[in-house]
Amino acid sequence: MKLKLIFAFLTLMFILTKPSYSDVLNDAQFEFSQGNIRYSAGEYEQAITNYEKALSFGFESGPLYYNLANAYFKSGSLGKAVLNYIRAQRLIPNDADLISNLNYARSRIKGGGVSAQRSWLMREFFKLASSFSLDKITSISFGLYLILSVLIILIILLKDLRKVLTYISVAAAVLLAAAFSIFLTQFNRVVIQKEAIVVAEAADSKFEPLDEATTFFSLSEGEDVLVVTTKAGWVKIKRPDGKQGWVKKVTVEQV
Amino acid sequence: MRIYFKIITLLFAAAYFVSPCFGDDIKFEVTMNKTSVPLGSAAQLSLNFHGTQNVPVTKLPDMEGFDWRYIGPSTRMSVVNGRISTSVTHMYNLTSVKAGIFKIPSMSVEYDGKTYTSKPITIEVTKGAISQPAPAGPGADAQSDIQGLSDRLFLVTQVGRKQAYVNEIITVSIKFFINKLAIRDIQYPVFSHEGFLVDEFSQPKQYKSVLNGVLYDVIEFNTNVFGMYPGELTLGPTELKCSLVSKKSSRGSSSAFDDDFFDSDIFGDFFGRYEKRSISLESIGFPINIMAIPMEGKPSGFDNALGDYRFDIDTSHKEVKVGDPITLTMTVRGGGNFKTVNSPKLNFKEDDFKIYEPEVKQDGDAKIFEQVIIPKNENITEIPEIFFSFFDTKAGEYKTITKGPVRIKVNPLPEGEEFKIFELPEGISGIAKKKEILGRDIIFIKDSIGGLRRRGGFLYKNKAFIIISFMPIAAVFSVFIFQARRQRLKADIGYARRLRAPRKARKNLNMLRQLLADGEPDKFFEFLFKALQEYLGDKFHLTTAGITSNITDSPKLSNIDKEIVYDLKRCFDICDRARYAPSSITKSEMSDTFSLLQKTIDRLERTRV
Repeated sequence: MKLKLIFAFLTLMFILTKPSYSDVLNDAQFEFSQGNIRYSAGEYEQAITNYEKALSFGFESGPLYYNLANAYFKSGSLGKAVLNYIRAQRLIPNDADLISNLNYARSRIKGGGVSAQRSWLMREFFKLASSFSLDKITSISFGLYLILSVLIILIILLKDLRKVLTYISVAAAVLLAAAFSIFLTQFNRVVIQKEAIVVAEAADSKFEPLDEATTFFSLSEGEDVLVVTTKAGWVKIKRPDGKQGWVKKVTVEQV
Repeated sequence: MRIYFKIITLLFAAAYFVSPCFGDDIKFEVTMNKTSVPLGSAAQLSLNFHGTQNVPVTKLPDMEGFDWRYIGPSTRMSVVNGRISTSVTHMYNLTSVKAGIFKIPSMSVEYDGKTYTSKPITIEVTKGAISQPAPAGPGADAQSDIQGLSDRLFLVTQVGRKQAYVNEIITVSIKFFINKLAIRDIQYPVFSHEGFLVDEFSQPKQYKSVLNGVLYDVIEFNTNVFGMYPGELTLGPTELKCSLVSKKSSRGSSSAFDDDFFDSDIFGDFFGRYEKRSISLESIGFPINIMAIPMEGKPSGFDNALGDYRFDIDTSHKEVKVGDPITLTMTVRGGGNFKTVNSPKLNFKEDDFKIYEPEVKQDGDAKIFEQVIIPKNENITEIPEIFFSFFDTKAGEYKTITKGPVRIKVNPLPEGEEFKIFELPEGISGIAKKKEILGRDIIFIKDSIGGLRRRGGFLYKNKAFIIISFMPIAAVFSVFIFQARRQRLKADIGYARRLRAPRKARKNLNMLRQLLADGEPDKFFEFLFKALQEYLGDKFHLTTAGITSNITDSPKLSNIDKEIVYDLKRCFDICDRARYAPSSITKSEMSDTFSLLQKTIDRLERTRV
């Protein structure tokens, strides 16, 4: 009986002391607003602290990453700026301000960075795919799947309209296939592939994960790479042109 | 004897070709290896005589702040294309004895009946560490310092004028002085220019120059700036980034930095004896007074042209017919900011000429406007006067040049031909629109935080979404199965009856249970017989009315368990008995028969027919 009472008391305390969902959102909102005030005053380092604190509550949003990236850019951290612009891009890919700032930040990468060699068709497809956030393309795919299901049910039930409904269903199926391809592309990019950005001013990519190893190529701050594997303070990365090498873990940060 | 003669002849010939050319001019200059020395340190003074090696040692005059000591001479002879040049340098050690800025006076040396005079040199003696050098020269406004190398590496910014009108060209020259240092990766200088428009840098010049008696390698960067609005504006500070190459170990060397400008020691580099160090040189900014153009005396046609110009016009044709184009070439030539020079306005009558946009060309010190005009009628006899107004920045006044009128003859169109003016599409007309230069920077932050969501909380991970995702496909399958069953029920009567049989049997059994409870054997068995008939008729797709106990011999029941068939036969037999001898049936027999029927139907339902 006593134990039951203690358990009930502890449960109640846990419920009462745990911050509610809306409290956490309010705290994040507060830090965001504070960050904006600091940013407007030109205090970029303090703004970064506020924005990072807003993220520490476990929530994220496109504008939050965008503002954080701006603050990093203004404080001279190009790598961190590009990193957070890309994080924002995953949530608000079609935001014109974000596209402009990301392009500008990338134009400041020393040496211009290395880009992947793709055919025109693939380039256009990736461009189209990157204009959808993962959630958005998930919703679109689900919507098309729902429509196609309803159409198939109607085909089964309505013999008279079967021909017309079949044509509409084929069109819906093609759209669904396209949407699903985009979904898979974005899923691969956001979830499976480990995209990272060089955050150090420069990073030497070596043949082996050793300080004294020969440098294969050098990376500039803000360049995109893919993480292949990690090993005791070193990361094996892949450049967009396919070249691979080992860089120190501290020089890159995963998106 | 003949051999001796040949040898003597050859020696004379050699002596002739190798003898110095005393006809050359003798040049005299005085240089110092430093422009600034700490108190108590020494600097080296060199008296260089080019074109001779016979100048004797010269006694130096007394110099304030320094004790001097003669070190010795250094002679040099070089033969280039059979021409010999000689020089002698008398070197002196000057030890500083007092802090301050001192002047090494100009020195005069008499040799071969001529007097040679050098320029004075300024040298600073500092109390502590070496301070910034003070290179003389017009416009030397700013310089930068690298600790300990300030006299060997510095930046000098010169501006053409300290006072200018808005949009007037101000030349900016940034000189990078290097004295015996290895410098690499020199970047273009950058300077603050708020309130100024800046042109691109021209190709940098590289040359040697003597400053305060020290020989420097100089890299000169030139550009133009224009003040955008009146006021006391500041140009600079200027910053230049480069790499300084120095030896890793200074053992056996006077200085780790001693090297020649741009010299490349490939072996030193190869064996890693040298290291590169990024350095940044900076100079302070300086004010420039930007004045507004006066409003008094401004001509009506003035269109912001600044400078000193000449103006000419020319026409492609003097005789044309109505509708034919005439190219009117207007050339503005001279010096000034050509960016401010726009095409002169043509105030022609609209009924007389159709005027297109001019094509603009820049050719050195001339800006040419090619303007296509089309006469609209044959009454035109001249191209009217054209005015070009500008503000002469040197004279500080407005000037207007007038050209024309130009006499032309416009012939009427031949009969049947109609006058048409075609509007040229943009881009073909040769319109040279001024390309707008847009600034670039990041766009400001966002005010709203937007839709917050849990980090990494993607929709595809949501459990409810996953469950809902299965629903449409489940619905499709359900509808498909339902429709298929419905179709079969319609098409296959035997299947439909077989499906109906257990339902009907259940209903009849309930009725029988009621009759059993009522205790009326005749009605009970009559209904039982009928129920059995109906069930078997539906189950085996037979005509219900003709079913009797003989059904047990039917081939349709051949696959049925013998025990079930036997029980069926028993049910029929009891029904027959009840019909013909109802008194022989007891209540318990009724109940047993009901149970038997129920059990038999149940077993039949479990049997695959």
